[in-house]
Amino acid sequence: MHKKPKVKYKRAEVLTAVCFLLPAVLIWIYWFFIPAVKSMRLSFYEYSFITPERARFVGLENFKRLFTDDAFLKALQHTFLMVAVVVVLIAVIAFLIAVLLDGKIRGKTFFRTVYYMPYVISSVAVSIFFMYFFIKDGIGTKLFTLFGLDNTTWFTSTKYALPLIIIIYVWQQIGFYMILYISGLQNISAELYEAARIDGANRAQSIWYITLPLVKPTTYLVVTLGMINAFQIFDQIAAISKQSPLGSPAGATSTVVTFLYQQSFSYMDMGYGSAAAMVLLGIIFLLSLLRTFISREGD
Amino acid sequence: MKNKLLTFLMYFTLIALALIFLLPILYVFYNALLPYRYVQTWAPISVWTLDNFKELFTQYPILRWYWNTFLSTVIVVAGNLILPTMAGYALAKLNFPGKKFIFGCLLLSMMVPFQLTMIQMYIQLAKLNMHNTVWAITLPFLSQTMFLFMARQFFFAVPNELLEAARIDGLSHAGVFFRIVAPISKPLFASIAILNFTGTWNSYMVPATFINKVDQFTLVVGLQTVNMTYFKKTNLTLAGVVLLSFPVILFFICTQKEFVKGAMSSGIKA
Amino acid sequence: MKRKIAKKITGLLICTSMLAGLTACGSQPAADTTPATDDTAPAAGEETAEIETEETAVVEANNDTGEDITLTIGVWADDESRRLEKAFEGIEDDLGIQIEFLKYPSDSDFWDNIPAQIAAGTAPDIISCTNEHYLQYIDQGLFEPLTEYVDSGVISLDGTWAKAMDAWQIDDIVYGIPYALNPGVFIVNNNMWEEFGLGDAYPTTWDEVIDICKKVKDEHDMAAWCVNIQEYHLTNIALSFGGGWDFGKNISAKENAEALQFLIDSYKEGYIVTPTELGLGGDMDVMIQQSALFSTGGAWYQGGFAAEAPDIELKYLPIPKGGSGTGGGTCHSAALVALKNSQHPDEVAKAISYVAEGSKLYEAVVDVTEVIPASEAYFDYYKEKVPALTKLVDYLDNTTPFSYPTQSKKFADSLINLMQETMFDESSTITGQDIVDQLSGEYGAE
Repeated sequence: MHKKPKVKYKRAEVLTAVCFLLPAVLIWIYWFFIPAVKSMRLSFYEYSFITPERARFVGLENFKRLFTDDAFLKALQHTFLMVAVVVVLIAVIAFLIAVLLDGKIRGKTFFRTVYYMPYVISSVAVSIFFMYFFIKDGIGTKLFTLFGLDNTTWFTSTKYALPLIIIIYVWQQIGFYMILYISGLQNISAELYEAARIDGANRAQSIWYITLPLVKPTTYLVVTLGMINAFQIFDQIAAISKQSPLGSPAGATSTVVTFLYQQSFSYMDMGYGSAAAMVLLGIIFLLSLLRTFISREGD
Repeated sequence: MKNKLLTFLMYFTLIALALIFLLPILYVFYNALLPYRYVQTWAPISVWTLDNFKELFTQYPILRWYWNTFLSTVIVVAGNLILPTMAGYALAKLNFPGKKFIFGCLLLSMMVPFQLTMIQMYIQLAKLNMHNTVWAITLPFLSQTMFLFMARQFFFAVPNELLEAARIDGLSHAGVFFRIVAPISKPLFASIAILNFTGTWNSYMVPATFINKVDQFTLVVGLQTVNMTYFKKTNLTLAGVVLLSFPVILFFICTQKEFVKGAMSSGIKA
Repeated sequence: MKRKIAKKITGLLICTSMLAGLTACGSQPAADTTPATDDTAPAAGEETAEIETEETAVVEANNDTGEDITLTIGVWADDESRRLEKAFEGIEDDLGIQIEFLKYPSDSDFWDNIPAQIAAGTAPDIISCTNEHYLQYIDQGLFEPLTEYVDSGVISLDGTWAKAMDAWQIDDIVYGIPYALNPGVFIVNNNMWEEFGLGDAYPTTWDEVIDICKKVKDEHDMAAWCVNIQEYHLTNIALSFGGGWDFGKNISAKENAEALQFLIDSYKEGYIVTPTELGLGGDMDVMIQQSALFSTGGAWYQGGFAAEAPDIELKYLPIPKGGSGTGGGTCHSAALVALKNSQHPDEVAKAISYVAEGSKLYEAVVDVTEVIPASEAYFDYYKEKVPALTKLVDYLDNTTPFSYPTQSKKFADSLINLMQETMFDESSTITGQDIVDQLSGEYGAE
């Protein structure tokens, strides 16, 4: 910012910008920012909403406790692992599907609808039947035994429960990111492909040299949104942990969000849960800073 | 020959994928036709029944829940089609001080898990006496940062020459947005409409927490209340899922035709 | 031009209305440390002084024929709401109190959100709570003590079954008025029992149960016993071995270790099946689908089976004895509880007294849900109306309340996690004793 020359802002432009931004920003402030600040404030307290009169200021104690809490550290580990795998899978698969559907295909509407449908079905139902497909001798389990995996109920196995969540989540969310890519692909003019074809490029090459670079803003969107959403995966875990503690089995599917939910809601320790959320936020923030820093260097 | 092989492979992949996506859904629909004791088993056609749907419609205020869901979804989608898109455009194409800062804040805010802010949001709503009303599930969500982000990214791709040409022709900034950019941004609006519709229609945590009156429930929440103290009637739940999903699928089919190529680039020629 | 102006005006209108909305709603307080509604209910410790004022208040309320008051009752399950609806029928005509039901999709939705609702002042006035995880809420002061109303005669506890009363009266403070009882029982699918030709003698000890499981596994290659790894069932089995948690004082007892080890061993031998392994939600699902012969459970099976699988005959037996224990399961009791911060505590007491004193509540409990009512006077009524479950009344005496340590949710979660880890991980070498020792270390009390 210091390197840029002093920019003169035109009054009409700024005024329009203010008007355009105002409603969204106001809503953001009133319904997000203020509640968020209030909630974050609680991370420095020992606090339960039922007994606010017993609230105690504890400073950084909640944070200290977090870093010696095995359950939290395990949850943190799972979260990062999950995010890494999920984002890669989603970005790649959604892109491929969007590209496949981009050309002259018969039944485009049909395919688009089918690929989008998992996103439409509520997480609860999705988890119900995924649980069934992956019990011992279930269809899904049998399929994966072909790849050398054990024939055991996935969601009661401490080894396979987390991969199952990843599968469920990716399956359900692909439709969402596919839409983003399809939308982004529409901006690429067909003439570019024509020109490439005339020059002798095959399909794969035109995808690599034309589509990928031009779809960068969308890829940035997909990866960022995907990451943000993956950090907050919750519904699917809650659904397969129903009637058991969140993070079943034995904490194998616990994430920072399930941890924070458990602490804040089930155990009514709001301060501790808020502290966990703050730690997660802090880590994500640092990662983003790192990424911007790296990409700046790259420029 | 090679072309034919490639085309075949392509269709093969598409259909295989389609099966992976479709099969579980067909399974849900299948289970919705079974009585409780046969759920999750292979039952002969003779026991298939529409009783689950009958029971849902007669015992529970399904139509009322449909209406609540529809109303709240329409309000939220309308809001999100206008407010975040305007804001996203400002962030993408207009110049003003503090642009990066505002965007940074918004981006950061998306990383805050909703569960953290939920309680305080609820308290604020209760103070306004809006809990248990349709406003509780619409007002805070009229402009969602995710779509702001989406809009910003989309508008980046709009060629600046287009805007400059319009400005030279005498349009104000607002005019450029409403008369030039918006009409060619159909894929963006379609995306927001589809994704927001689906998300709001299916949203569970917010309506479940903010609304406790049976006649104000949305469909998702209402269907979740269809259970007994010690066990869930899975057959009814899945029948409910069928009822829940149809409108969204229909909406999708109608809206996705807006994903048409070349809407953007056609602007330049003109 | 017109369109442009129109759009601009709309934009401005939205902006201004947002601003107006903000300012109209007042300033944002720095922190929400006080509840939104005023605190009209007395605290637990200030009993003696309050009784006098409460008595006069009660008297005044009786003379008050003013406006209608609406009380909200929180429910989360169809059968629960139906029986309470039936119980509270007519209260509007008789007492001028209107009842509104607030519905929650599940019990966890209720408990998870109650702190927010208390803070926001939107919590229900009355709920029906069970004696499983209630201690942590009492500890937090969520339940309004009803002792004053009992002492002043507004609510009568005559005829309530003693053990239930013990569960809901802690340190001489009454926290709830029990109205339903459920002894833990051992349920046998009699159709399958006879089909497998297992004889006339039903098992009375766990060893006998295992013998039958062995036979069933050899002859029919299936696990005969369904165990839902949940604190309810685990506690039943621990109690039957002579163990139990005793509010944290008895966690590491060898009887508990023995019970848990028994489960672990039986599971590894293949005699036990868990609902999750079959992709099902609970033990009743497994039993309805006839994927097991036995399960622990309660009278709620009756209603479920009657609706969904009336052709299956069930036998309700006392929980088998284990080790050196004397059997006997948990005593599960539901009570009407008044929540803190209610705007109308007197009306709440009157409403509770109305349904408890008349026959409405107990009759509703029997008629709608076929569960044992908590008033001994109605035991015969129950036996008459639900002949299939007559024996359950006799089992009541041998039952024990749950007595989890105060941090019951955490304790239950830890117990379940440890059992899951041990049972589902084949390489695990954790024993029952390890589990109870670990739990005792974290949740034990003196």
